[in-house]
This record gives sequence, structure tokens and C-alpha cells, in this order.
Amino acid sequence: MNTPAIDITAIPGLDTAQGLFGSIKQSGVAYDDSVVAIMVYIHDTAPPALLV
Amino acid sequence: MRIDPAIRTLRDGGAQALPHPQRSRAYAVQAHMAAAQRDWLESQPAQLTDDFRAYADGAELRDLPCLSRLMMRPCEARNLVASLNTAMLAALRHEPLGEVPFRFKMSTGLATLQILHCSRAVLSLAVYEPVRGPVEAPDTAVFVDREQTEIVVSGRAAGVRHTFEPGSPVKTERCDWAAGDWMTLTPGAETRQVLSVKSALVMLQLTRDPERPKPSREVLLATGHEAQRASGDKAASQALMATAVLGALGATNALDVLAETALARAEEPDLRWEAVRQSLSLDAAAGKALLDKLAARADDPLAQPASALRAHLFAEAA
Repeated sequence: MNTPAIDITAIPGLDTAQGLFGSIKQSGVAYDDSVVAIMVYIHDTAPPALLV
Repeated sequence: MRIDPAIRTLRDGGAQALPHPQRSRAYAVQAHMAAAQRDWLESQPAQLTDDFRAYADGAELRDLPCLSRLMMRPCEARNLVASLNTAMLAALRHEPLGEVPFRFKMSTGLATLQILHCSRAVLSLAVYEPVRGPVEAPDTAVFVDREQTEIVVSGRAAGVRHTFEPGSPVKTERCDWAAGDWMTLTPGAETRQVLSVKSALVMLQLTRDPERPKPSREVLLATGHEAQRASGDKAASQALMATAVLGALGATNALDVLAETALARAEEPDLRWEAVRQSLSLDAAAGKALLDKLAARADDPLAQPASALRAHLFAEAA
């Protein structure tokens, strides 16, 4: 079958789709301590030596 | 603004960009800081690091006497923080341009430093400082699938502690925290929010993620309804992003891996579906074969979406 190319933006996500890890930002809190997302993404690419 | 030429060189190209004598100097600074970190760790009781490793491997905190004492006895927590500060300040006095070699994060009013890290367990130092922020408590709270035990080392703050059961309004209790207070939060069901800090609140935090964490949920306090949901599984989100990158690179040689991911029932549905999407975009025929396989699996949560997408995309060809 000669199938034409499909544009990725034309393919929907799941109805039950959820955000990526660490993507919840709480509105109205004085301290954003829900998830240490930035630290996790940057340092997992080039982690400092694990201590234990 | 005046920037020291040595700092500028470091900024522009890191230690590699420095001429030889300075490069050796930069490495010497790093080595000094790393040695200070190692010496500090070795000065801690071996039982503490053993307990921490056991906790990371799944042991209960109550069965680990040294780690329990640290998280429940203010003097032990204070001693650990004091010894860490002494060691790092001494190293910085010796090497003022040194970087304290712990993972850290800073945002308005909050700084965290990871002191120990072993697989899914982390011991952190967190400092909340007074900020001008909302005085009113927020109307949502985030519940994360993570064990968390905290002890206040110094300072004073006020906040709330929430308990959540699906289907009921969130139970909220006002709290005042001061040195020596400690708490344990049940994964996914309990959380706490610091609302106002009277004097810098220094806490030791011990956390442990499950092997496959459930999604994190932001919940409306008044009703208990879910406002937002995000993956609790860092590895799954990283894999999802990697899948999207493979697609963007046009990596047709990754089609087998994508198919394997899409068909793996143990993976998160979002990750599997992203593999389906990218397969379809890379090679429509291969993607359609994947949709056929998924649609034929009666007990797979992706069967219905796969069947619907196949009907939508290939209706004319059929």
C-alpha cells in the first residue's frame, strides 16, 4: 500500500493525556516547592557524582 | 557592569577555554571542593550512610535507628546541618570561586540542596525565607506519590497541612512550625504548604519515590476535584521527550524501538501513544501496522484509541 505521509500535528493525543513530570505549577502559592523539576532535568543530563 | 576577565573566560567556555595554567587552577578548585565534600561525608557516622542506602533499597524508616534519629531528633538534625555548613564554608574560604558540589535549586524564597542521593531516595536541606507573597491560602494543592519526612532545624513559619481522599473535599489543618517539629506525609494523600515565614525556616527533608510513581495531582481544596494531572514518573517523561526527539530527527531506523515501546503494556499510556504518533509520522505503513496490532488487543487501554485513530486516518484507504 502506498500510504501518504502523515503530519505529526494531525495525530491527536490521548483523551487521558497528562502533563510531563514536574509540569504542574501551583497557582497562588508563595513557595513553589511542589517538584524540583528543573534540578532534575538539568542534572540528570550531566549529574554530579552520586554521593552514596 | 564590570566582569572580571577570569570569570568572563569561565563563562564563555568553561575550564576548557582557559590557557593551561588557569585551566589547571580551575581543576584544582573543583578538586578541592570535591575533597571537602568527600571529607565531610566520611566524617559522618557510617551507620547513617548505611541506613540511608537501606532506606533507598526500600527499608522502613522506623527500622533504621540512625536515620530515624536524624529525622526526629532536633539536635541530631542540627548537628548534621552545622557540620555541613562548617565544612563547606571552610572550603569556600580557601577557594572563594569554588562551587559547592551538591545539586541545588533556588527559586523565590526557597533554596534546596541535595545532601545525599541514592537511587530513589534523597536527603535535602531546604530553606524557606520570608517573601512578599499571597497572604491567603491557595485554593489548590498538589499531591505527589512520594514518601516525605521532614524536620525543622531552625526558624518559624505558618502553613497548612492537607489530607486528600478522592471524592471528598480536602481536609485542611493550620500549622505553625518551629525548630524540632517533624512530620511524615503519606504518598499521594497528604501534602503541606508553607504560607508565611516569620524567620528563615531550615528543614531537613527525606524523600523516597516509588519505583513506578503514580501521577501527581493538583486538587481543588473546596471540592476534592482534580484540576490537573502530571506524570509522577520522571523516567517515563524523559522517554516520552526522547521519543518526540527521535520523530523530529526523522529517525526511521528507530521504528523497531518505537514499536516495542508502543506495544509494551508496562509503560505509561502517554509514552506508548507518543511512540504510536511518531511511528505514524515517520512511516505511515509501519504506524498503521502498529495501530492494527493495538486495535486487536481487547484488554489493552490503547485498543480503543488505536481503533478510532485508524478509522479517522485510513477511512478512505479502507
